[in-house]
Amino acid sequence: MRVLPFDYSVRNLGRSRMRLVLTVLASALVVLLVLTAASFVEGMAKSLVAKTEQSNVILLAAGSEESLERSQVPTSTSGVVAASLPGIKTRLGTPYVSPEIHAAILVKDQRNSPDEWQAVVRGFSPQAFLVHPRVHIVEGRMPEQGRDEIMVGGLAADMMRVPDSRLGVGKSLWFDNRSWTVVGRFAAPGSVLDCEIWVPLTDLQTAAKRDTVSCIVVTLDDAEVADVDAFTMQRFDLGLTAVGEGDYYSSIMAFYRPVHAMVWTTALLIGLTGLFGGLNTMYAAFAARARELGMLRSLGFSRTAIMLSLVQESLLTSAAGTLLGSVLGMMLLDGRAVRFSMGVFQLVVDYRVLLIGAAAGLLMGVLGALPPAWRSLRLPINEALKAA
Amino acid sequence: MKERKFVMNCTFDRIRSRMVIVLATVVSLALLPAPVVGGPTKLPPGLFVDAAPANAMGVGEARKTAQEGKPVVIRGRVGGVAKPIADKYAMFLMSDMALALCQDGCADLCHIPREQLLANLATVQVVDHTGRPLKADIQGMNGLRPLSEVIIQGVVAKVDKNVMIVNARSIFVNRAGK
Repeated sequence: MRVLPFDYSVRNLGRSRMRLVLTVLASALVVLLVLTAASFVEGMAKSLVAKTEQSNVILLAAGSEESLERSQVPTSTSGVVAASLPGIKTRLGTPYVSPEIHAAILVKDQRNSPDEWQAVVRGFSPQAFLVHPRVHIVEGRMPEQGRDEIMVGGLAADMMRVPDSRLGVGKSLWFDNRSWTVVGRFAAPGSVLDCEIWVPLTDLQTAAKRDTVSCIVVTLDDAEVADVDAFTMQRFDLGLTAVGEGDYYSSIMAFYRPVHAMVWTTALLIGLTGLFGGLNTMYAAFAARARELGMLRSLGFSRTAIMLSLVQESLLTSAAGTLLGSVLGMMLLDGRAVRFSMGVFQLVVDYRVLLIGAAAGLLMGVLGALPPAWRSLRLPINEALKAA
Repeated sequence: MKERKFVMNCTFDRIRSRMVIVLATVVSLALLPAPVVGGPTKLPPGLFVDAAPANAMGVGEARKTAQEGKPVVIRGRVGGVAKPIADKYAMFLMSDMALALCQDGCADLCHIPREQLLANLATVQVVDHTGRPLKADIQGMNGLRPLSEVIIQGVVAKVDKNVMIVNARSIFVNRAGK
């Protein structure tokens, strides 16, 4: 088969520059939208599931499996767990057992400030750094017990919707009827911990007038979740239930599945709108070139060769749009913080998301060109040559 | 020329027959059951019995009278927590039959005050010859499910004011009623 030269397709693109620019922009917008949907789902999955410690097990109060905030475990239980549960990881004799309080509270600027911000607070002990190895202090120091000190995560400002400088070291916040000074900043990249405020466990217990913790997080060495499950059954008096950290966050992820489905459906519908708009433009564009296509056929080019050339044109336009959309996506979306009930996660534009965007853009280029091209090429040569 | 063609055909035949042998070996190996390394242990034969042992006492009563190392026969219902049967271990929690069931049919008996619930619970486990709980799935065996009525014949491994653990010798699951 004799095919049309590639530069024929390229030169044809310059015939109507306005149409070219508009088509490229439309493709870019559709690709950007697909990237937004994909980066949303990917970002949430990465912060909830992929960045959890797979060897961590959360011990919650029995009956509170679905909500860490609702769970109440006596503080002394962490000592019993550390002493009785075999197979826990240790370092220099210190077991990886971290009693923690998880709470969503309202934080004020000052005592009488009318502004209130929703914040996720975690009461922690030094062992928290063992079981959450992703957490590291990037500025200042760790809060000291009994001095009303706190440290904040890298995305805490996004969670509270305040400027990042508002949570700088030396600044203070008001909650639980006292002022707390920020003495440190920490980072836990890509995990939900990054949006939290960390408070020494006993300080938070005193402030909140509670003698319980929300959960005990343990890191397993040679044990598995089933062993911990068996332990909670043998020590049913402790009133604990064991959930793998990955399983816990996966269940939260499953809770958000309808939201993901809605995001994808919206992206699909807008993508289809873009496709139909593109089809409309291409019908008009190819119909206007009926005489040219008839001439090519009279010169001996087959319908397939001409169709290939038309698809090439469309693909070039959509590829340019895909490229533009991908660059915009990387610049505008990657790393952008999104709030949700569990805290904050960052949109992720990685190679998988880019591949989804590219596939959507290029597929639109092919599907948008085939029906109009086929319709234009159906005309007999003599009719095509006489077309206006 | 003909000779060369004959030699080539023979070579192709040899290669083909070897490929068939290799393929057959691979398929046979794939169809063989995978060797079990550290897999689940089987439950001891005769663990589940069809006749209910006599003289069974309630869990609450057993908690008051049972002694460590002594045989015991207890009757109760699988339950006490949301998931009363352990994963990968032959172990479950049972509660006294006197405890009323929740209206929504949950196994954790969430409406019972905690102190009362704890006093009427026992852990049942099947152990190996070293006394360690057997790593074997027991859920669904002989109809054993949350809220099943069971009668356990076994030995008290541990009993104090907080817990009671029974090493089961036999388990009767009453399939007639829940």
